[in-house]
Amino acid sequence: MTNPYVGLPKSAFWRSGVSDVSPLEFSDIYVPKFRISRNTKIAAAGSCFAQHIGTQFKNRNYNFLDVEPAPDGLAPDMHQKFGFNMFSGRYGNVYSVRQLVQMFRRANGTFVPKETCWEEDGRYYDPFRPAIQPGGFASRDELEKDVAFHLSQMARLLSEADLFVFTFGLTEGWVCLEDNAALPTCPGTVAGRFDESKYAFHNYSFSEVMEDAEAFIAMAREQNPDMRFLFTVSPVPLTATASGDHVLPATVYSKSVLRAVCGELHKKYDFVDYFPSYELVASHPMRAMFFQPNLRSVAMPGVAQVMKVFFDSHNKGRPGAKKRAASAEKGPAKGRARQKQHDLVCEEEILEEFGK
Amino acid sequence: MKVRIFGNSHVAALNRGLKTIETRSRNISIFPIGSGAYETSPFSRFSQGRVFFSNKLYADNLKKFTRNWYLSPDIAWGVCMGTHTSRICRDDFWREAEPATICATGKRPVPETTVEAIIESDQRYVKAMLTQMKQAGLAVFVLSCPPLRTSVRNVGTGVRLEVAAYLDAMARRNFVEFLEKEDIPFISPPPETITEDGFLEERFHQELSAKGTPDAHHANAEYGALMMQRVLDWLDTADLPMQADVA
Repeated sequence: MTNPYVGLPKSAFWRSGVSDVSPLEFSDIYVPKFRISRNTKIAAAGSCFAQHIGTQFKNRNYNFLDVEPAPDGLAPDMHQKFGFNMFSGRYGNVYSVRQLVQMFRRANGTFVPKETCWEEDGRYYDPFRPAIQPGGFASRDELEKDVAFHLSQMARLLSEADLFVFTFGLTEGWVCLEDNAALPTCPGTVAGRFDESKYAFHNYSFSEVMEDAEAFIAMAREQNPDMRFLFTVSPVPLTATASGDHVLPATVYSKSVLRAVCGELHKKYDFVDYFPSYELVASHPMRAMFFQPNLRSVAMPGVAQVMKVFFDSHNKGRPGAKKRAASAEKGPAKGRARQKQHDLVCEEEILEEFGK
Repeated sequence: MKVRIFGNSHVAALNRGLKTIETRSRNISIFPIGSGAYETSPFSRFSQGRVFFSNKLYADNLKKFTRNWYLSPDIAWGVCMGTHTSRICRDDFWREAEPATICATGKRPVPETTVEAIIESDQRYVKAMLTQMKQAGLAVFVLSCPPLRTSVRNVGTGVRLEVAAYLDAMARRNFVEFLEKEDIPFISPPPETITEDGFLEERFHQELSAKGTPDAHHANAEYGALMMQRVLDWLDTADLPMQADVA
């Protein structure tokens, strides 16, 4: 007697694919749809988990785009505080695909939000990037200049990238009632003041997330017809829910919607790949081993394991492909040569005066 | 009390200048701690009530010139570090970016607090050393590095003079505010050596090193003499015990 299950690989069965195997050794849990090489120009956005993905691409010398790089003179330990070196631009966490679409619509001028500045104690904040400038901007003019530059850089990002990596974070969000602009955080949490006549809670449905994702894909491929996409779902649960539900089912709802959208997109488009970072951290076979004691933050070994699976899967079967060690951060060779020349002048000055 | 002045390569001009003026019987000398290139990494530490240099070059030079591995409490220390702004102003970043307040069209605007953070990144380890010196109860004062030269790489060429002047003024202001908070006296450059725009007057440029190589960076002995005159004038009024030994 035969049936479609006969002859399926071990990974297709729960026993051989999951319960009889160490969770650190799931075979073929990710089979890349397309190759990502070190020449692939990669852009990334998403929630806090997505920052880890960008860091790993950079550390492994992939061509990770950053159209708003940190100033050379800003110490590396200050980068994240000022929103640098997190993603491919200085946009901060992008929790929903609605936010993502909106950002690029602002960049191409097809959406102009009504509310563009929050003032508090003489400092000015960007409602769409409230944490980007510690202590706020010094003036409305300074904020507006920063936003204009930021959007000009966003306008280039889609045309430059070959691959866009997006980590879907949340379905819950807050919108401005006047124009339905999606805010990254609830006003009054990071910056701004909450006013229920101006802002409302919105929990994006499957169809809304799907529509937004397809709008983003269409927008991106209009600029770059060969653009490919890698989607993941953040395994990080909600900090809090405004849905009225308990935070646990609210989290499962959110992640289920996002996972279902990713699954649908993965099936529908040959240029969309899905990487199961959610499953590798948050599914029950993982025994929550990669979470911190708060069962919410992902511990660094978990990030490392997830990314190991990703890069091993991409390097599988490629003769001679080896994990490259992280290289030390190097500035452009020209800059280093100039600095060396200057240092020589200073060393000489000291030697000449005090060396005798 | 003996006075010892140390700092980066800018102390060479001070030393040349000191040799040409009357030191008024003060036991005062100057030595280099090492190139300013090391100022942007941690280079000092406070341990058991004393300040040591954790940078090997700085530590070796301190030992060479003072015979101690730590900054001795028997000495009044003059520090010529912290207002060396060319490192900030000549950075290639400012060829494409400018402080938002004065940003020209087509350049990347940099918000004020980001500029302050860049300055802080540059100054923080010098500030850390000075805080440690106060913690150790040392007599300490700071003397300014020479004003920025317009011949420094990028300044006036890739980086607009207005931008360099803005950054220089902000960096100096931030540093002096820190010194005021720490109650550390600051001796500014002689006014006659500074142009209206805040740069070093050309007649005080050291155009060539003693070896004859072009120098776009340092001040000359004439500047050093004027600056050391100011230091001596300040020492006359400062509350430091005199020691009439020959230097």
